[in-house]
Amino acid sequence: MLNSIVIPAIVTGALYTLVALGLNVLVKVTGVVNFAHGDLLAWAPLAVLVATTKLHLPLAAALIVAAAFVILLALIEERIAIRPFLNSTVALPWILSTLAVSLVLTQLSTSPFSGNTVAFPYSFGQSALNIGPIQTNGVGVTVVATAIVLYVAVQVGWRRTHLGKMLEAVSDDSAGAAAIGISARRASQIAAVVAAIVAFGTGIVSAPQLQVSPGLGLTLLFSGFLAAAMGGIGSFAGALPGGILVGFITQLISVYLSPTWINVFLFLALLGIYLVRPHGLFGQPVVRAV
Amino acid sequence: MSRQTSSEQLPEVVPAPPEKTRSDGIRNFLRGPAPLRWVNAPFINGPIVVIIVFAVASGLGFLSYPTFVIQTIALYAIAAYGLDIAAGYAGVLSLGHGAAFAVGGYAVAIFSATHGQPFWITLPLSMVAGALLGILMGAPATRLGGLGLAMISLGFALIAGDVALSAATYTGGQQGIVGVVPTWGFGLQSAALDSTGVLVLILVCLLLTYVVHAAYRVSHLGRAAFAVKDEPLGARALGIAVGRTQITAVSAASAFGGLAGGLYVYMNQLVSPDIAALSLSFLFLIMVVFGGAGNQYGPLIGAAVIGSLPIFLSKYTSINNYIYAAMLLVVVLLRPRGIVGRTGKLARLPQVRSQPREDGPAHRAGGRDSFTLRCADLSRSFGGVRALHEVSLTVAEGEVVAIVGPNGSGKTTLLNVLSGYYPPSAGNVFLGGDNISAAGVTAIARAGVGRTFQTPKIFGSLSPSEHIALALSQAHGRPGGAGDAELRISYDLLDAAGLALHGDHRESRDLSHGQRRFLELAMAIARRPVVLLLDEPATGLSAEEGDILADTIRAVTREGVGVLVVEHHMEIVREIADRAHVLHLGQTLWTGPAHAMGDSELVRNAYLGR
Repeated sequence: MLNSIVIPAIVTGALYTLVALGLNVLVKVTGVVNFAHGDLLAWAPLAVLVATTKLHLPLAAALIVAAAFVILLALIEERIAIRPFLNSTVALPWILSTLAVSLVLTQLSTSPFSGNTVAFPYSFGQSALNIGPIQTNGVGVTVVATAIVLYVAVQVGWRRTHLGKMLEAVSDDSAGAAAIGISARRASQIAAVVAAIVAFGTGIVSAPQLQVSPGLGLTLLFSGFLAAAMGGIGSFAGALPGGILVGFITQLISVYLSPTWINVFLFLALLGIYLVRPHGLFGQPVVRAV
Repeated sequence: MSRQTSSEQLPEVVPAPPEKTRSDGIRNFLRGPAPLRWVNAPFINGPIVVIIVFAVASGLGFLSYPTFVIQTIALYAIAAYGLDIAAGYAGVLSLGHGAAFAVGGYAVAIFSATHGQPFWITLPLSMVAGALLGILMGAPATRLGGLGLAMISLGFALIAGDVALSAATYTGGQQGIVGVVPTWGFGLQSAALDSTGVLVLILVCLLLTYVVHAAYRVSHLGRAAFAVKDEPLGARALGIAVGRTQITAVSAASAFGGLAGGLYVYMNQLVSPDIAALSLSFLFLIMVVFGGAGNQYGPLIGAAVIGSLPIFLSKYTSINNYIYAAMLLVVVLLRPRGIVGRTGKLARLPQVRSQPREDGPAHRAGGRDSFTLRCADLSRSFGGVRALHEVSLTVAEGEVVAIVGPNGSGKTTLLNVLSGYYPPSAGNVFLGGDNISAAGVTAIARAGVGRTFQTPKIFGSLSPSEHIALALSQAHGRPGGAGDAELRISYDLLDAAGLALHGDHRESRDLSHGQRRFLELAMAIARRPVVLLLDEPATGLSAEEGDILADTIRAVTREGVGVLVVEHHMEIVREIADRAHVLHLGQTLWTGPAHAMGDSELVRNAYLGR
């Protein structure tokens, strides 16, 4: 039970927490749910592989180059697909623009390895690792540790740093923030970079287990979406319970029923939560002024 | 602040002659010379185009590749026209149209191949299946706003394939169902439709979809959908149920998605979980947005462009995605309304027969009391802030009551509580004998409370005449109402604002501030309200416009409508109001005849902050 359900569920859940966290950073500041977030995180391990196998860089250099590349992609996306629609509430044009970026990034990701699935060899060990009664492996430990570190870091950074408070100001009222000299554009750029860093971390720690393929982004994006939605879109605190909940449902269904039912049950769970709490477990309803 | 200064700062409403821009010229060219404009009628140009397409296909050969592409485009167009009812009309950006497509496809396959039903039974069933899915998608999703809708519909699109795989008993699992051919039934096993027959079937369905799409646009449902998309708060103030309007649009959209899916299965003679590919949902959305959401021709243009791309690029399939992405980005950035963005239509409005009334309020059969808005000890708190505290007031039939007070005194909050946007924390609101305290915005509007907003809420995608038609469709039929008098007042108001109801079907999004105000007020009046709540109606109006406003308010009170007006302009208040009610920090400070207000020490102190 512990090692067949609980531990794998926590590892999977930690991964979805990371995806949800990255989505929420951008939502919180810009109001945009980034449909290309999955592609950004899928590009992280892909870029590392390109750097090591095609450019023959050492791993450390490859990681730096790949991180810079993912951040660059995020900045380009922010400029063409997010900034023009900042705080736009009508008809959600950013769904279409970020979707367009996602299409491009997915298609681009088929070119380095002809779209084939490639193993990602850089990890802290795929072999079994026992911690007391817990059986896991280095990859699992890395995922959980990364999730905890980033989950805490984003929230502490948001509340305790000057930058975080500036972003919070834009998030609350971008016009008011602009009036005291905080630019909504710069804030959206910073949020895009933070989200890209989270995406990079997510991609690197998930790749050893999930392998690198053009489908990686979409797979992680859907579950990450559900985790973010269950926890509450734009709620940092909600990302962890949302992610863990998705992790447990995923693991229970795949053990006791069949993996083909996973998405169906995840989706039903989301509908159930929405019927009871329309803004997710930790989400705040938007107060609308007349 | 006097009205004179405001007229210097703000532009006056002069009926501007329609500006001739280059795109107007193109539109006029496309519309053709006036005698040929009847060609725009969908039941005329639809059959013509369909016949031409059929002739072209027969010339190319019914089994040729170009004909296959034409069929595909027609199928896409059916789905895109359907999706446009949700996305273009109601603004519900559904990412789950592919799910409806898949459900319709499986419905046809199961009833046709497994149960041997003829196509004239299976295709309507595919629409029913699609519509049911639409209700299922729309019902939870509309509670969540635009993003929730997108997520829920995306979820449906993502799990459709999984469900098809898992429910193998009915769907055939991975293999799917093969040998799906459209039959005529009547025991004629040989009478299956050949490829020509399938093409005709698809074209006839496209024609049907095109005509329904156009008819939906000019129906009350279509106008309400646009109102909900453009300005949900304003739509609710007219008595339009936002959620129901959206669900209706989504289920209509999904019905046509299902029909397209069914035809797709007949065309390929098989169905498999591949029909639920997520990319299809995105493609349908791209077609609608690219072509022009909410336009009569937009979805067809989108379907034709996207459906024919593979012909030109069959050698470079990987380029397709880049082109789709580029099309999406270019359209949302540069031409957010798509290639053909016009959405305004002319609405036919009833003629007015009555004459202006010069005498006092027309008393109605129900007696004065049944048309009185009354609130008693009304309180409303936001967290720890008491925005309203035990306010009581009455607006009788044909009476004008002004709510006056400094900023932050709770005037707009009072209006919002009275019209249901905020439920009261304590106290009650009565309209006639009915307690409407907890009735909700739509129900209160339907009970006969009309209102306007500080920022006029009009519907940019609709023409002025459609606003009035929409308001008339939401008129609640007040008992003993004085016929079409309110309609005449509306027409006069729009006339004074320089808004043409006849011959002009341009959208209202470019109207001036004064025109917006008067259009909003004209809508509220045309609904024949029992009571009108006006939130700072004179703000931003010129001196002449202020006079028009005062005349209009006097005219509606002569018809017996009670008016509650929040206003800063003391001249207007003294000119039109019978009684004034002064609020200060959420409480009633003073109440009495409007002309005596300036004499009150209390009121002067509150305003001057002493």
